[in-house]
Amino acid sequence: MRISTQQLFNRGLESMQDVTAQLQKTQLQLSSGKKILTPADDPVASTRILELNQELNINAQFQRNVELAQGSLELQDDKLGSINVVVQRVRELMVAAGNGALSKNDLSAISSEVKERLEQLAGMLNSQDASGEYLFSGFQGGTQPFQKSVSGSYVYKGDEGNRFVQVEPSVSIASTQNGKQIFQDVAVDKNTFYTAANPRNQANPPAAITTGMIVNQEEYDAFYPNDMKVTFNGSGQYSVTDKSTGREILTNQPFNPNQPIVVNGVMFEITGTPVAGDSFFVESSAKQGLLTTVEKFIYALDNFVASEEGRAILKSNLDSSISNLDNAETSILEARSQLGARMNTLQTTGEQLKDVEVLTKEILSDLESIDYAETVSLLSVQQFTLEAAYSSFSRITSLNLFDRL
Amino acid sequence: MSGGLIGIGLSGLRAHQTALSVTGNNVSNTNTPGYSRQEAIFVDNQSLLTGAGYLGQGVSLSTIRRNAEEFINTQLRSDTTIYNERKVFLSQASSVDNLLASTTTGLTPAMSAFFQAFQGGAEDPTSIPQRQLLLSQSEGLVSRFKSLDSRLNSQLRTIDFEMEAAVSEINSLAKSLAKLNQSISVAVGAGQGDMPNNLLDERDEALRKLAEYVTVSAYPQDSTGQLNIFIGNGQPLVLGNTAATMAAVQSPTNSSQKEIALVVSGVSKIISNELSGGKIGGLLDFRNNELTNSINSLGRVALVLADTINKQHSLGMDLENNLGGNYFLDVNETSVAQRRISPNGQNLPPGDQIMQINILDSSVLTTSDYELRFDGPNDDDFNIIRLSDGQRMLKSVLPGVYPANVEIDGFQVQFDAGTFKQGDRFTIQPTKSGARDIGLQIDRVEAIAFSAPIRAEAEIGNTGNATINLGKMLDVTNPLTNQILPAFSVPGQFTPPMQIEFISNTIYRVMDVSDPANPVPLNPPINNQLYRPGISNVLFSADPGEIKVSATGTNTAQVPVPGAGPFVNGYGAQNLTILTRDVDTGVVSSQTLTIAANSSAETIANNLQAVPGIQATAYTQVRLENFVDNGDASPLELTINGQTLTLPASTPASPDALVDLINNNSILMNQKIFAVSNGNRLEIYSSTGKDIQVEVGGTGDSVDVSSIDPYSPGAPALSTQTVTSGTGVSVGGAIDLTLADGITLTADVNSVFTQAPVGTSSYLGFQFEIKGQPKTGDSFTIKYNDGGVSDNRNALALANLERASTIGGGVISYAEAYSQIIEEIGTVTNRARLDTDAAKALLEQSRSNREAISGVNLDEEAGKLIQFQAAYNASAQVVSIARQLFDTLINSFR
Repeated sequence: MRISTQQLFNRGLESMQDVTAQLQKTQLQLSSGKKILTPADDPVASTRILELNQELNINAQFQRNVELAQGSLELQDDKLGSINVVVQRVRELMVAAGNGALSKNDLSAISSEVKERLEQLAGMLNSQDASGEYLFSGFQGGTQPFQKSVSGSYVYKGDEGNRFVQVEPSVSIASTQNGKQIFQDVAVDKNTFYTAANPRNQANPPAAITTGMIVNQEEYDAFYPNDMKVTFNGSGQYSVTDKSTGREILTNQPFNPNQPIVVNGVMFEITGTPVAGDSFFVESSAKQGLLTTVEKFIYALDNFVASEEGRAILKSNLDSSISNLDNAETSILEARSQLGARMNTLQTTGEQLKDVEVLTKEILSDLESIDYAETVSLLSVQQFTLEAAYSSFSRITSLNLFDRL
Repeated sequence: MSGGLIGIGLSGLRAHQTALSVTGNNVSNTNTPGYSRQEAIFVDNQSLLTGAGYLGQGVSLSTIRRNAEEFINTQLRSDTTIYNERKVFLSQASSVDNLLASTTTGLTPAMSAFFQAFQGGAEDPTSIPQRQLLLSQSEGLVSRFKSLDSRLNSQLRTIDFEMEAAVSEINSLAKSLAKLNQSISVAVGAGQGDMPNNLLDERDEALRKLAEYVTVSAYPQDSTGQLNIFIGNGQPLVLGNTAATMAAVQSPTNSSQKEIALVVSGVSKIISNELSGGKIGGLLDFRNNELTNSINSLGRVALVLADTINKQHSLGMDLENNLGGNYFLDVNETSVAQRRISPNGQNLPPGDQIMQINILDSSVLTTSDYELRFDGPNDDDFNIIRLSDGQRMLKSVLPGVYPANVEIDGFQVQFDAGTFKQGDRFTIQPTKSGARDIGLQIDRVEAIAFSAPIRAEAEIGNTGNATINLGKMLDVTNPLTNQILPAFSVPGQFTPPMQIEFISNTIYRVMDVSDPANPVPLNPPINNQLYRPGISNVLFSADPGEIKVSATGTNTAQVPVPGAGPFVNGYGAQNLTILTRDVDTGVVSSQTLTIAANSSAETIANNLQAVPGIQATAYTQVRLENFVDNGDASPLELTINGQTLTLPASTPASPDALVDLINNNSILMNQKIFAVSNGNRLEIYSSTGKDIQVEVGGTGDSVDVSSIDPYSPGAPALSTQTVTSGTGVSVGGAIDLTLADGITLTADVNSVFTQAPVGTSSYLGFQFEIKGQPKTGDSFTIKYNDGGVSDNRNALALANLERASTIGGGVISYAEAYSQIIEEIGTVTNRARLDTDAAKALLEQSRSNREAISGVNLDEEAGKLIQFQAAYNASAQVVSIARQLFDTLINSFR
């Protein structure tokens, strides 16, 4: 076959260019440490690399979530621990108040310490985290969860929200626990009630209803679980009705502020000047909040009448207060053990996530990292080829018949 | 010839001198592109007949031959075409490949960062720095989409420029080919059979250059030596000595790109589809098949992301207690939606159409473009063709009133105005501009909605252990009507706040507690709902098209005139016609239910319940008051549904005395009949809608029996009869129906139902579930989540979208859709590399073949120079010897 001179040069140059291009690619692979420089080098592997990188990103986020959740759970655990200490002190005071030899003065001394403890407890229940969010108010992180109502008793202003964080693709773990669950939904040993004013009441300043106490448990048990509604008419009279059936229990009674209303074994006061249409609720409940239990204890101490009957009422109230407080303590302990269980889960999850991370990184490295030994030897081969091409090219092109003319 | 030997010698000198010139010319043209090696062809001259026979008369050159092989040149051209096509394709594909893959320019890092910021928000929803981070990551994501889109679109521009350059090169080549044709035909005539070698070389080279741009075929024109040249699938470029003109013109179907046109007497005809091969073929192939698809796919990722994030975000509540609204710009904003459809440049006037493409269900969008064609026979007949597979998706007729719309593949074509003519065409590009149009709507960190706007609470006084979940948002607007749902119609509120009340352990109703002291029924009512302990009870409808209808005909809630029996509720006979429109096919089926006179609400409800798509609830409430006992020997005695309530002697009949007798009667209990007393009046309920019969015994005694309006606040008595001793009445119940989307109900007369009962939409847009064992009197409230700043439900839902299958019919996630683009481009580039290598090898082969015949080898030419020089020297010697011979002869005569 004839070979033209032009061809001789072109071919030599082209093959050198090809080898140079290969050499450059190998060099790029070596300097970047990556086998695949563009998706075209291996479309399937490069898609997989993208996916794996994304998995790593998500994994890192989950690990971060685990750490933050752990921190937040530990903080709550701490707070619950210190709350428990105060609860125990209040319990001691309750036991002390049960001493039948104590005079009204002794009891009011106890009452003043309990009042201090109540404020201390309320402060702890209103704990905030580093960024100022209330720990125990559910979703209402900006709302102080335990606030004094117009009636002066603590009410829960948070909600039932528990915040979840995602720690695995299909696993979410609660990182908060609302105060209602821990401190409000506490079972009572005897049927009880709580009082509330209708938020739509018109009186200004608003009339208030006191925490109240049970003066006749048997009578109240007979009425339980119905709720009562106290409504005021235009002529300063009030009526008490059964909220669900509408049965009238007391009708058009003259209202006298500060004078206790006793109905169905329950005693409470309405203070202030209610206007026509204002209403107050006495809701039956099988649950009683921690702070309400303490408030009822205080109410019972403060309303102690030094008589046989008074002692009996106090004793009955103390008995239920102690057992209610025990229930509250149990509820706190339950919450702490749940926190512990969740911290445990978080730890295991965190370890699993780390394992997955290591594994994913291994796969990723298999896919995208070069084998240095292999690539370096490839580089030497290519280098050798290029050198050979250089020397053969110059030799071949230096052959020329014209030189011999 | 007399000069015999001298003549022979001189002929040798002449011939070899010319041959040396030819060789010299070869040497000089060694590096001339397209040059074909030439060769002097020697012939010996006509011999002269002498006595000794024919005597040779020297040499002459017959012709100077051009060493070229037409077949090999054709092969070279075709390989050039293929190689250039693949090379251009590869270079375009590689640049997209590099763009998409790089960790610094690709979408993946920005998208990961975006969703990580959502996760961060979920972890700490009140943190302003977290929200700030999310906002800036969102801006980063938007700008990444836009920059990728603009890079891909600038690739479109580049392709347009390259096509323009190619077209002008083709035009100039066409002109020179036409000129060469002319010169060749002149030269062929003048040369009388000798060919103008250099012109042929020039023409072959021009053809080869043309072949770099497009597929070329050349056909010789008989004797003149001219070539007719066609490109693509036979588009004439050069005919004899006239050349056609090509142009790059605006595409009529796609204003953002250019097409190649052949200009014939000022009219351009688009021939892009007829062209293949070469640089133009490579550019068109890459643009039409890969680049457009990449832009559309990227657009689809952006569009689906914006749409799904918007939908979820609008279900949330921000730091300021407002509903979330859109996070990204509305994907159906009018100007954006109008840009998705563009008229063909060749449509008939007036071109006054106003249309837009709305994205309805982004999850089923394809990456294809579509064409709306008014193919006739009438002006209003149209078809919609999906361009990726040429499938006709829809054939329809404009209704003639605006706005009209049709829906396919997740989008809606909305015709707003204008006249349409047969032959009009419109290009629909639902996803093309998705990545360009994405933008942030949210501009303040407080407006990011991490919370859900609803929450529920169990009343602390509940005695059962049932719990309610925190609720799940479904919609803020009714997806069928696009109207805001009533619950969210007042900003920052939930109207009305609701309370779920258990009126027995297994029956609940939902009340409006705008005034907590006076709960009133909802409108439409949710009364007498059955609660199933042990499972999670879903409280509300998830069907946006569902409506509620109640039996409010003239006969319902009326207490018949008391009599001696038999006791009937007085409900008239009625034929109910139920029309069911299949939501998918639109087919309407009809069925008629006959209700016999005096049927109980329970029976009617059971019959209706059997119709698919109807949920029926029946319940009866009767109020008994004014118990009058005349004090004679026979006391007031009541018989309820055949059960005589016998009070102990000396106990007068009173609500409180009777209530326990009813509630403890096992037969009534099995019939799900129970009673409540408030001391003055006795209310008897049947939770299944049985008629309640009240008979009064004794003598001279009476009781007032009333029916109750279950839909009005305070449950007022509607109709009252005094039932006296020896008589009785039967009171019928209420029926509430829930009709699924597409079901309507009419009656022939007004008795139980009115003739055309008015339905009220019962879709609330949210869902709650209660589980556990509630007790009578337990209640749960549902309200607006104001102040719920620590709520992260919506943030979690948003973060979860990262891995949700949202694209391509709900099959792949955003990231997977993006990987698909990369994989596709990677595969195409990889294939193009192999193709280019193969085409290069073939081209190399063809070139070798051509060089083997036409190429100049200097060694060969050097050899020839020596050869011809030797012959020249020898011929000179011949002349010299002839002269010496002559001298010898002359001298002998001296």
